[in-house]
Amino acid sequence: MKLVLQEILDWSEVWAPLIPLTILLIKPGSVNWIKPLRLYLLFAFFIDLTGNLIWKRMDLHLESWMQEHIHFLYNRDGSFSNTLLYNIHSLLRFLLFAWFFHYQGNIFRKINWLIPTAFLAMSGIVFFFFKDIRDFSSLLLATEAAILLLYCLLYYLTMLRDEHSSIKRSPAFWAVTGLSIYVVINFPIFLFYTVLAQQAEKFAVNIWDIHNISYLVLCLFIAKSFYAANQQY
Amino acid sequence: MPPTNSTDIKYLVIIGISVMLLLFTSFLVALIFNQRKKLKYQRSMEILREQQQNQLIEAAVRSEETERHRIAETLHDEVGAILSSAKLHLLGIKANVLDERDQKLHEKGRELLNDVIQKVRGISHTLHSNILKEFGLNEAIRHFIRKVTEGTLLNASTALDDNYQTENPDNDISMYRMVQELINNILKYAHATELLISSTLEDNQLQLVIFHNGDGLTQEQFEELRYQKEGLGLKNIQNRVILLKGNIHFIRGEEGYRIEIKVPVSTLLKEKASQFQEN
Repeated sequence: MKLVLQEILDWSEVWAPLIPLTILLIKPGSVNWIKPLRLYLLFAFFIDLTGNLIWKRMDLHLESWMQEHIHFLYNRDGSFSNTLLYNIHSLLRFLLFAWFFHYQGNIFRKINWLIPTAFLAMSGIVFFFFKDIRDFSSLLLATEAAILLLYCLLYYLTMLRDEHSSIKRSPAFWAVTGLSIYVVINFPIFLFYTVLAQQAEKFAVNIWDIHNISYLVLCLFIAKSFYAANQQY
Repeated sequence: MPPTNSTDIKYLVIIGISVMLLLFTSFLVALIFNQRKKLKYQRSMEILREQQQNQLIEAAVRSEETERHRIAETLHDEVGAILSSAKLHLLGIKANVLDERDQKLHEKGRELLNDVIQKVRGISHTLHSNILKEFGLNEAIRHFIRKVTEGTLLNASTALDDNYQTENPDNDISMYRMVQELINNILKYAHATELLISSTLEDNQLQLVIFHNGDGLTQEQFEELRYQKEGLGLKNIQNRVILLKGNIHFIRGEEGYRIEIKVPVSTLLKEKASQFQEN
Protein backbone atom coordinates (compact mmCIF):
# COMPACT_ATOMS: atom_id res chain seq x y z
CA MET A 1 0.00 0.00 0.00
CA LYS A 2 2.79 2.36 0.99
CA LEU A 3 4.62 1.56 -2.23
CA VAL A 4 1.51 2.26 -4.29
CA LEU A 5 1.01 5.60 -2.55
CA GLN A 6 4.69 6.43 -3.06
CA GLU A 7 4.39 5.55 -6.73
CA ILE A 8 1.28 7.78 -7.08
CA LEU A 9 3.17 10.60 -5.37
CA ASP A 10 6.22 10.07 -7.58
CA TRP A 11 4.04 10.47 -10.66
CA SER A 12 2.02 13.37 -9.22
CA GLU A 13 3.98 15.91 -11.29
CA VAL A 14 2.61 14.16 -14.37
CA TRP A 15 -1.03 13.67 -13.40
CA ALA A 16 -1.55 16.85 -11.33
CA PRO A 17 -1.59 19.27 -14.34
CA LEU A 18 -4.28 17.07 -15.89
CA ILE A 19 -6.76 18.19 -13.18
CA PRO A 20 -6.98 21.86 -14.27
CA LEU A 21 -6.60 20.84 -17.91
CA THR A 22 -9.65 18.58 -17.55
CA ILE A 23 -11.64 21.51 -16.15
CA LEU A 24 -10.58 23.58 -19.16
CA LEU A 25 -11.54 20.74 -21.47
CA ILE A 26 -15.04 20.53 -19.97
CA LYS A 27 -15.59 24.29 -19.80
CA PRO A 28 -13.04 26.26 -21.80
CA GLY A 29 -12.59 29.71 -20.31
CA SER A 30 -12.47 32.86 -22.36
CA VAL A 31 -10.48 35.04 -19.95
CA ASN A 32 -7.13 36.16 -21.35
CA TRP A 33 -5.06 35.15 -18.30
CA ILE A 34 -6.10 31.52 -18.74
CA LYS A 35 -3.94 31.23 -21.88
CA PRO A 36 -0.49 31.39 -20.17
CA LEU A 37 -1.67 29.01 -17.44
CA ARG A 38 -3.02 26.54 -20.00
CA LEU A 39 0.25 26.71 -21.87
CA TYR A 40 2.21 26.23 -18.66
CA LEU A 41 0.16 23.18 -17.66
CA LEU A 42 0.68 21.61 -21.08
CA PHE A 43 4.44 22.25 -21.00
CA ALA A 44 4.62 21.06 -17.40
CA PHE A 45 2.79 17.86 -18.27
CA PHE A 46 5.14 16.95 -21.14
CA ILE A 47 8.31 18.04 -19.31
CA ASP A 48 7.38 16.13 -16.15
CA LEU A 49 6.28 13.09 -18.13
CA THR A 50 9.68 13.03 -19.86
CA GLY A 51 11.41 13.69 -16.53
CA ASN A 52 9.66 10.81 -14.83
CA LEU A 53 10.28 8.45 -17.75
CA ILE A 54 13.98 9.26 -17.49
CA TRP A 55 13.91 8.85 -13.71
CA LYS A 56 12.07 5.54 -13.87
CA ARG A 57 13.83 4.34 -17.05
CA MET A 58 15.28 1.29 -15.35
CA ASP A 59 11.90 0.14 -13.97
CA LEU A 60 10.29 0.84 -17.32
CA HIS A 61 13.13 -0.85 -19.29
CA LEU A 62 13.89 2.25 -21.34
CA GLU A 63 17.63 2.51 -20.72
CA SER A 64 18.83 0.66 -23.83
CA TRP A 65 16.39 2.54 -26.09
CA MET A 66 17.58 5.86 -24.67
CA GLN A 67 21.27 5.01 -25.03
CA GLU A 68 20.62 4.12 -28.63
CA HIS A 69 18.45 7.09 -29.64
CA ILE A 70 19.27 10.06 -27.40
CA HIS A 71 22.88 9.37 -26.43
CA PHE A 72 23.77 13.04 -27.11
CA LEU A 73 21.79 14.06 -24.06
CA TYR A 74 23.93 11.94 -21.73
CA ASN A 75 26.45 13.67 -19.47
CA ARG A 76 30.15 13.62 -20.19
CA ASP A 77 30.68 11.01 -17.45
CA GLY A 78 28.05 8.77 -19.07
CA SER A 79 25.37 9.44 -16.49
CA PHE A 80 21.94 10.60 -17.49
CA SER A 81 19.65 12.67 -15.36
CA ASN A 82 16.45 14.61 -15.75
CA THR A 83 17.78 17.74 -14.00
CA LEU A 84 18.08 19.57 -17.32
CA LEU A 85 14.30 19.34 -17.57
CA TYR A 86 13.89 20.98 -14.14
CA ASN A 87 15.93 23.95 -15.34
CA ILE A 88 13.79 24.23 -18.48
CA HIS A 89 10.64 23.81 -16.40
CA SER A 90 11.76 26.61 -14.08
CA LEU A 91 12.48 29.01 -16.95
CA LEU A 92 9.16 28.25 -18.63
CA ARG A 93 7.23 28.50 -15.38
CA PHE A 94 8.73 31.89 -14.68
CA LEU A 95 8.07 33.27 -18.16
CA LEU A 96 4.52 31.95 -18.38
CA PHE A 97 3.57 33.13 -14.90
CA ALA A 98 5.09 36.54 -15.70
CA TRP A 99 2.77 36.56 -18.73
CA PHE A 100 -0.12 35.53 -16.45
CA PHE A 101 0.65 38.43 -14.08
CA HIS A 102 0.78 40.77 -17.07
CA TYR A 103 -3.04 40.55 -17.14
CA GLN A 104 -3.41 41.26 -13.41
CA GLY A 105 -3.13 45.03 -13.45
CA ASN A 106 -1.10 47.98 -14.64
CA ILE A 107 1.61 47.61 -12.05
CA PHE A 108 2.65 44.25 -13.54
CA ARG A 109 2.68 45.69 -17.04
CA LYS A 110 5.14 48.33 -15.87
CA ILE A 111 7.62 45.87 -14.38
CA ASN A 112 7.05 42.99 -16.75
CA TRP A 113 9.58 43.94 -19.38
CA LEU A 114 12.35 44.47 -16.81
CA ILE A 115 12.11 41.45 -14.50
CA PRO A 116 11.83 38.66 -17.09
CA THR A 117 14.65 40.23 -19.12
CA ALA A 118 16.86 40.43 -16.02
CA PHE A 119 15.98 36.85 -15.06
CA LEU A 120 16.73 35.52 -18.55
CA ALA A 121 20.00 37.46 -18.63
CA MET A 122 20.97 36.07 -15.23
CA SER A 123 20.11 32.51 -16.31
CA GLY A 124 22.12 32.95 -19.51
CA ILE A 125 25.19 34.19 -17.60
CA VAL A 126 24.93 31.40 -15.01
CA PHE A 127 24.61 28.62 -17.57
CA PHE A 128 27.12 30.06 -20.00
CA PHE A 129 29.93 30.85 -17.59
CA PHE A 130 29.42 29.02 -14.32
CA LYS A 131 27.21 26.00 -14.59
CA ASP A 132 26.29 23.19 -16.96
CA ILE A 133 22.64 23.50 -17.97
CA ARG A 134 22.30 19.73 -17.48
CA ASP A 135 22.98 20.13 -13.75
CA PHE A 136 20.27 21.04 -11.28
CA SER A 137 20.65 24.75 -10.56
CA SER A 138 19.64 25.65 -7.02
CA LEU A 139 20.43 29.27 -7.76
CA LEU A 140 18.13 29.43 -10.79
CA LEU A 141 15.19 27.68 -9.12
CA ALA A 142 15.50 29.59 -5.81
CA THR A 143 15.76 32.93 -7.65
CA GLU A 144 12.75 32.00 -9.75
CA ALA A 145 10.77 31.08 -6.61
CA ALA A 146 11.79 34.31 -4.87
CA ILE A 147 10.78 36.50 -7.84
CA LEU A 148 7.47 34.67 -8.29
CA LEU A 149 6.82 35.16 -4.56
CA LEU A 150 7.43 38.88 -5.02
CA TYR A 151 4.97 38.90 -7.92
CA CYS A 152 2.39 37.16 -5.68
CA LEU A 153 2.93 39.61 -2.82
CA LEU A 154 2.58 42.49 -5.26
CA TYR A 155 -0.70 41.00 -6.44
CA TYR A 156 -1.96 40.78 -2.84
CA LEU A 157 -0.83 44.35 -2.10
CA THR A 158 -2.69 45.57 -5.19
CA MET A 159 -5.75 43.76 -3.87
CA LEU A 160 -5.36 45.36 -0.46
CA ARG A 161 -5.01 48.82 -1.97
CA ASP A 162 -7.97 48.44 -4.30
CA GLU A 163 -11.15 49.52 -2.52
CA HIS A 164 -13.37 47.51 -4.83
CA SER A 165 -11.38 44.29 -5.04
CA SER A 166 -12.93 41.10 -3.82
CA ILE A 167 -11.79 37.48 -3.73
CA LYS A 168 -15.14 36.42 -5.14
CA ARG A 169 -14.75 38.67 -8.14
CA SER A 170 -11.08 37.74 -8.69
CA PRO A 171 -10.81 34.14 -9.93
CA ALA A 172 -7.08 34.71 -10.56
CA PHE A 173 -6.66 35.02 -6.77
CA TRP A 174 -6.79 31.23 -6.45
CA ALA A 175 -4.05 30.65 -9.01
CA VAL A 176 -1.88 33.28 -7.29
CA THR A 177 -2.50 31.66 -3.89
CA GLY A 178 -1.62 28.22 -5.29
CA LEU A 179 1.58 29.65 -6.76
CA SER A 180 2.38 31.42 -3.46
CA ILE A 181 2.03 28.18 -1.50
CA TYR A 182 4.19 26.39 -4.04
CA VAL A 183 7.02 28.95 -4.02
CA VAL A 184 6.88 29.50 -0.24
CA ILE A 185 7.37 25.78 0.40
CA ASN A 186 9.87 25.23 -2.35
CA PHE A 187 12.12 28.25 -1.94
CA PRO A 188 14.17 26.61 0.89
CA ILE A 189 14.05 23.25 -0.90
CA PHE A 190 15.39 24.72 -4.15
CA LEU A 191 17.95 26.85 -2.32
CA PHE A 192 19.56 23.92 -0.48
CA TYR A 193 18.78 21.10 -2.88
CA THR A 194 22.23 20.85 -4.49
CA VAL A 195 23.92 20.74 -1.09
CA LEU A 196 21.31 18.29 0.22
CA ALA A 197 21.78 16.03 -2.79
CA GLN A 198 25.49 15.87 -2.01
CA GLN A 199 25.36 15.57 1.78
CA ALA A 200 22.02 13.90 2.55
CA GLU A 201 20.82 12.18 -0.56
CA LYS A 202 18.04 10.18 1.11
CA PHE A 203 16.64 13.30 2.76
CA ALA A 204 16.81 15.13 -0.60
CA VAL A 205 14.79 12.36 -2.23
CA ASN A 206 12.25 12.37 0.62
CA ILE A 207 11.87 16.13 0.66
CA TRP A 208 11.03 16.04 -3.05
CA ASP A 209 7.75 14.41 -1.96
CA ILE A 210 6.92 17.73 -0.25
CA HIS A 211 7.69 19.46 -3.53
CA ASN A 212 5.31 17.06 -5.29
CA ILE A 213 2.54 17.69 -2.74
CA SER A 214 2.95 21.46 -3.08
CA TYR A 215 2.88 21.05 -6.86
CA LEU A 216 -0.39 19.15 -6.52
CA VAL A 217 -1.74 22.02 -4.37
CA LEU A 218 -0.68 24.49 -7.08
CA CYS A 219 -2.53 22.50 -9.73
CA LEU A 220 -5.66 22.20 -7.55
CA PHE A 221 -5.67 25.95 -6.95
CA ILE A 222 -5.25 26.61 -10.67
CA ALA A 223 -8.20 24.26 -11.27
CA LYS A 224 -10.24 26.24 -8.72
CA SER A 225 -9.23 29.43 -10.51
CA PHE A 226 -10.41 28.08 -13.88
CA TYR A 227 -13.67 26.93 -12.32
CA ALA A 228 -14.27 30.30 -10.64
CA ALA A 229 -13.47 32.14 -13.89
CA ASN A 230 -15.95 29.95 -15.71
CA GLN A 231 -18.64 30.67 -13.14
CA GLN A 232 -18.01 34.39 -13.28
CA TYR A 233 -17.66 35.09 -17.02
CA MET B 1 26.11 13.64 19.48
CA PRO B 2 27.06 16.99 17.90
CA PRO B 3 24.98 17.82 14.80
CA THR B 4 26.74 17.13 11.56
CA ASN B 5 26.79 19.57 8.67
CA SER B 6 24.10 17.62 6.77
CA THR B 7 21.85 17.61 9.87
CA ASP B 8 22.20 21.38 10.06
CA ILE B 9 21.09 21.71 6.46
CA LYS B 10 18.14 19.39 7.03
CA TYR B 11 17.02 21.51 9.98
CA LEU B 12 17.63 24.65 7.99
CA VAL B 13 15.40 23.42 5.18
CA ILE B 14 12.63 22.27 7.55
CA ILE B 15 12.76 25.47 9.61
CA GLY B 16 12.92 27.51 6.40
CA ILE B 17 9.79 25.85 5.02
CA SER B 18 7.96 26.20 8.36
CA VAL B 19 8.85 29.86 8.85
CA MET B 20 7.96 30.81 5.29
CA LEU B 21 4.68 28.92 5.47
CA LEU B 22 3.86 30.55 8.80
CA LEU B 23 4.62 34.02 7.46
CA PHE B 24 2.62 33.40 4.32
CA THR B 25 -0.35 31.96 6.25
CA SER B 26 -0.37 35.02 8.55
CA PHE B 27 -0.27 37.29 5.52
CA LEU B 28 -3.07 35.38 3.84
CA VAL B 29 -5.23 35.45 7.01
CA ALA B 30 -4.67 39.22 7.28
CA LEU B 31 -5.64 39.60 3.63
CA ILE B 32 -8.81 37.55 4.09
CA PHE B 33 -9.78 39.59 7.16
CA ASN B 34 -9.19 42.77 5.21
CA GLN B 35 -11.33 41.46 2.36
CA ARG B 36 -14.14 40.57 4.75
CA LYS B 37 -14.00 44.02 6.32
CA LYS B 38 -14.06 45.59 2.88
CA LEU B 39 -16.96 43.39 1.84
CA LYS B 40 -18.90 44.33 4.96
CA TYR B 41 -18.27 48.00 4.29
CA GLN B 42 -19.29 47.62 0.63
CA ARG B 43 -22.48 45.84 1.66
CA SER B 44 -23.40 48.54 4.16
CA MET B 45 -22.73 51.18 1.50
CA GLU B 46 -24.86 49.24 -0.95
CA ILE B 47 -27.73 49.05 1.56
CA LEU B 48 -27.38 52.77 2.23
CA ARG B 49 -27.42 53.55 -1.49
CA GLU B 50 -30.44 51.31 -1.95
CA GLN B 51 -32.22 53.03 0.91
CA GLN B 52 -31.46 56.46 -0.54
CA GLN B 53 -32.64 55.32 -3.97
CA ASN B 54 -35.85 53.95 -2.47
CA GLN B 55 -36.43 57.18 -0.59
CA LEU B 56 -35.96 59.17 -3.78
CA ILE B 57 -38.32 56.87 -5.69
CA GLU B 58 -40.87 57.06 -2.88
CA ALA B 59 -40.67 60.85 -2.82
CA ALA B 60 -41.07 61.00 -6.61
CA VAL B 61 -44.00 58.59 -6.62
CA ARG B 62 -45.73 60.29 -3.70
CA SER B 63 -45.28 63.75 -5.18
CA GLU B 64 -46.63 62.44 -8.50
CA GLU B 65 -49.66 61.08 -6.67
CA THR B 66 -50.17 64.36 -4.79
CA GLU B 67 -49.96 66.27 -8.04
CA ARG B 68 -52.43 63.89 -9.72
CA HIS B 69 -54.76 64.32 -6.75
CA ARG B 70 -54.46 68.09 -6.93
CA ILE B 71 -55.13 68.19 -10.70
CA ALA B 72 -58.03 65.73 -10.31
CA GLU B 73 -59.55 67.86 -7.55
CA THR B 74 -59.12 71.07 -9.55
CA LEU B 75 -60.64 69.48 -12.63
CA HIS B 76 -63.54 68.02 -10.69
CA ASP B 77 -64.29 70.86 -8.29
CA GLU B 78 -63.34 73.91 -10.29
CA VAL B 79 -63.37 73.14 -14.01
CA GLY B 80 -66.25 70.68 -13.57
CA ALA B 81 -68.25 73.23 -11.57
CA ILE B 82 -67.67 75.97 -14.16
CA LEU B 83 -68.65 73.63 -16.97
CA SER B 84 -71.80 72.55 -15.11
CA SER B 85 -72.65 76.19 -14.54
CA ALA B 86 -72.05 76.93 -18.24
CA LYS B 87 -74.37 74.03 -19.09
CA LEU B 88 -77.05 75.45 -16.77
CA HIS B 89 -76.74 78.84 -18.44
CA LEU B 90 -76.93 77.25 -21.85
CA LEU B 91 -80.02 75.30 -20.83
CA GLY B 92 -81.50 78.60 -19.61
CA ILE B 93 -81.67 79.88 -23.16
CA LYS B 94 -85.15 79.41 -24.58
CA ALA B 95 -84.46 77.30 -27.65
CA ASN B 96 -88.02 77.68 -29.05
CA VAL B 97 -87.50 81.42 -29.65
CA LEU B 98 -84.39 80.81 -31.72
CA ASP B 99 -84.46 80.42 -35.43
CA GLU B 100 -83.63 77.04 -36.96
CA ARG B 101 -79.93 77.84 -37.50
CA ASP B 102 -79.45 79.08 -33.91
CA GLN B 103 -81.41 76.10 -32.56
CA LYS B 104 -78.95 73.76 -34.31
CA LEU B 105 -76.00 75.73 -32.90
CA HIS B 106 -77.59 75.62 -29.42
CA GLU B 107 -78.07 71.85 -29.68
CA LYS B 108 -74.48 71.35 -30.90
CA GLY B 109 -73.15 73.55 -28.08
CA ARG B 110 -75.07 71.51 -25.51
CA GLU B 111 -73.74 68.24 -26.92
CA LEU B 112 -70.16 69.50 -26.91
CA LEU B 113 -70.54 70.80 -23.36
CA ASN B 114 -71.88 67.42 -22.22
CA ASP B 115 -68.91 65.73 -23.90
CA VAL B 116 -66.45 68.06 -22.18
CA ILE B 117 -68.08 67.48 -18.80
CA GLN B 118 -67.87 63.71 -19.32
CA LYS B 119 -64.28 63.95 -20.47
CA VAL B 120 -63.23 66.13 -17.53
CA ARG B 121 -64.94 63.76 -15.13
CA GLY B 122 -63.21 60.79 -16.82
CA ILE B 123 -59.79 62.44 -16.62
CA SER B 124 -60.41 63.39 -13.01
CA HIS B 125 -61.36 59.82 -12.12
CA THR B 126 -58.37 58.39 -13.96
CA LEU B 127 -56.04 60.73 -12.15
CA HIS B 128 -57.52 59.95 -8.78
CA SER B 129 -59.71 56.91 -8.37
CA ASN B 130 -62.30 57.27 -5.66
CA ILE B 131 -63.29 53.65 -6.26
CA LEU B 132 -59.77 52.61 -5.27
CA LYS B 133 -60.08 54.60 -2.08
CA GLU B 134 -63.54 53.41 -1.17
CA PHE B 135 -63.82 49.88 -2.60
CA GLY B 136 -60.20 48.72 -2.83
CA LEU B 137 -57.80 47.55 -5.50
CA ASN B 138 -59.82 44.71 -7.01
CA GLU B 139 -62.90 46.84 -7.61
CA ALA B 140 -60.81 49.70 -8.99
CA ILE B 141 -59.12 47.34 -11.47
CA ARG B 142 -62.47 45.83 -12.54
CA HIS B 143 -63.95 49.30 -13.00
CA PHE B 144 -60.93 50.51 -14.93
CA ILE B 145 -60.96 47.48 -17.25
CA ARG B 146 -64.69 47.89 -17.91
CA LYS B 147 -64.21 51.56 -18.68
CA VAL B 148 -61.24 51.28 -21.03
CA THR B 149 -62.41 48.25 -22.96
CA GLU B 150 -66.00 49.40 -23.39
CA GLY B 151 -66.84 49.67 -27.07
CA THR B 152 -63.57 48.06 -28.18
CA LEU B 153 -62.96 44.68 -29.85
CA LEU B 154 -60.90 43.59 -26.85
CA ASN B 155 -62.49 40.79 -24.86
CA ALA B 156 -61.37 41.60 -21.32
CA SER B 157 -62.02 39.63 -18.16
CA THR B 158 -60.80 39.63 -14.58
CA ALA B 159 -60.23 36.87 -12.03
CA LEU B 160 -59.07 38.69 -8.94
CA ASP B 161 -58.53 37.08 -5.55
CA ASP B 162 -61.03 38.67 -3.17
CA ASN B 163 -59.07 37.42 -0.17
CA TYR B 164 -56.83 40.38 -0.71
CA GLN B 165 -57.85 43.32 1.39
CA THR B 166 -56.23 46.69 1.31
CA GLU B 167 -53.87 47.23 4.20
CA ASN B 168 -51.71 49.97 2.82
CA PRO B 169 -53.65 52.33 0.51
CA ASP B 170 -50.46 53.90 -0.81
CA ASN B 171 -49.23 50.52 -2.03
CA ASP B 172 -52.58 49.86 -3.65
CA ILE B 173 -52.31 53.13 -5.54
CA SER B 174 -48.93 52.03 -6.87
CA MET B 175 -50.28 48.63 -7.93
CA TYR B 176 -53.27 50.28 -9.55
CA ARG B 177 -51.04 52.72 -11.45
CA MET B 178 -48.90 49.84 -12.71
CA VAL B 179 -51.98 48.01 -13.98
CA GLN B 180 -53.25 51.25 -15.56
CA GLU B 181 -49.96 51.85 -17.35
CA LEU B 182 -49.62 48.27 -18.54
CA ILE B 183 -53.21 48.05 -19.77
CA ASN B 184 -52.87 51.37 -21.58
CA ASN B 185 -49.72 50.07 -23.27
CA ILE B 186 -51.52 46.87 -24.30
CA LEU B 187 -54.40 48.91 -25.73
CA LYS B 188 -52.01 51.18 -27.59
CA TYR B 189 -49.42 48.77 -28.95
CA ALA B 190 -50.37 45.12 -28.54
CA HIS B 191 -53.41 44.81 -30.86
CA ALA B 192 -54.71 42.09 -28.57
CA THR B 193 -58.17 40.52 -28.75
CA GLU B 194 -58.06 38.72 -25.40
CA LEU B 195 -57.09 40.18 -22.05
CA LEU B 196 -57.21 38.53 -18.65
CA ILE B 197 -56.20 40.08 -15.37
CA SER B 198 -55.92 37.71 -12.46
CA SER B 199 -54.53 37.86 -8.97
CA THR B 200 -53.68 35.38 -6.24
CA LEU B 201 -52.79 35.96 -2.62
CA GLU B 202 -50.39 33.33 -1.35
CA ASP B 203 -47.76 33.28 1.40
CA ASN B 204 -48.03 37.01 2.09
CA GLN B 205 -47.48 37.73 -1.56
CA LEU B 206 -49.92 39.17 -4.04
CA GLN B 207 -49.36 38.02 -7.58
CA LEU B 208 -50.98 40.02 -10.33
CA VAL B 209 -50.93 38.47 -13.79
CA ILE B 210 -51.88 40.30 -16.96
CA PHE B 211 -52.27 37.98 -19.92
CA HIS B 212 -52.99 39.04 -23.49
CA ASN B 213 -52.71 37.49 -26.94
CA GLY B 214 -51.26 40.50 -28.76
CA ASP B 215 -47.69 41.67 -29.41
CA GLY B 216 -46.16 42.08 -25.99
CA LEU B 217 -42.82 42.77 -24.44
CA THR B 218 -40.18 40.30 -23.39
CA GLN B 219 -38.09 40.84 -20.27
CA GLU B 220 -35.10 41.90 -22.40
CA GLN B 221 -37.18 44.46 -24.28
CA PHE B 222 -38.56 45.80 -21.01
CA GLU B 223 -35.04 46.17 -19.55
CA GLU B 224 -33.93 47.93 -22.73
CA LEU B 225 -36.94 50.22 -23.10
CA ARG B 226 -37.08 51.44 -19.54
CA TYR B 227 -33.71 53.18 -19.98
CA GLN B 228 -34.92 55.08 -23.04
CA LYS B 229 -36.61 58.47 -22.99
CA GLU B 230 -39.72 57.01 -24.58
CA GLY B 231 -39.95 54.38 -21.87
CA LEU B 232 -41.03 56.78 -19.12
CA GLY B 233 -44.12 54.73 -18.30
CA LEU B 234 -42.04 51.57 -18.01
CA LYS B 235 -39.53 53.38 -15.83
CA ASN B 236 -42.38 54.47 -13.56
CA ILE B 237 -43.54 50.86 -13.37
CA GLN B 238 -40.05 49.74 -12.40
CA ASN B 239 -39.82 52.50 -9.78
CA ARG B 240 -43.10 51.43 -8.25
CA VAL B 241 -41.94 47.79 -8.24
CA ILE B 242 -38.79 48.85 -6.38
CA LEU B 243 -40.89 50.93 -4.00
CA LEU B 244 -43.13 47.96 -3.23
CA LYS B 245 -40.08 45.66 -2.91
CA GLY B 246 -41.62 43.37 -5.48
CA ASN B 247 -40.62 42.14 -8.89
CA ILE B 248 -41.99 42.18 -12.41
CA HIS B 249 -41.48 39.65 -15.19
CA PHE B 250 -42.45 39.77 -18.83
CA ILE B 251 -42.92 36.27 -20.21
CA ARG B 252 -43.60 35.21 -23.78
CA GLY B 253 -45.64 32.02 -23.99
CA GLU B 254 -47.13 29.97 -26.78
CA GLU B 255 -50.59 31.47 -26.43
CA GLY B 256 -49.59 35.02 -25.62
CA TYR B 257 -47.72 37.29 -23.26
CA ARG B 258 -47.83 37.27 -19.47
CA ILE B 259 -46.82 40.08 -17.18
CA GLU B 260 -46.32 38.86 -13.63
CA ILE B 261 -46.09 41.32 -10.78
CA LYS B 262 -45.29 39.92 -7.36
CA VAL B 263 -45.62 42.19 -4.38
CA PRO B 264 -45.17 41.28 -0.72
CA VAL B 265 -48.15 42.22 1.45
CA SER B 266 -48.34 42.29 5.24
CA THR B 267 -49.81 39.45 7.22
CA LEU B 268 -52.64 41.45 8.75
CA LEU B 269 -55.26 39.23 7.19
CA LYS B 270 -53.73 36.05 8.55
CA GLU B 271 -53.12 37.62 11.95
CA LYS B 272 -56.76 38.59 12.09
CA ALA B 273 -57.77 35.06 11.13
CA SER B 274 -55.53 33.50 13.78
CA GLN B 275 -56.85 35.94 16.40
CA PHE B 276 -60.37 34.97 15.43
CA GLN B 277 -59.50 31.27 15.80
CA GLU B 278 -57.91 31.88 19.21
CA ASN B 279 -60.99 33.75 20.46
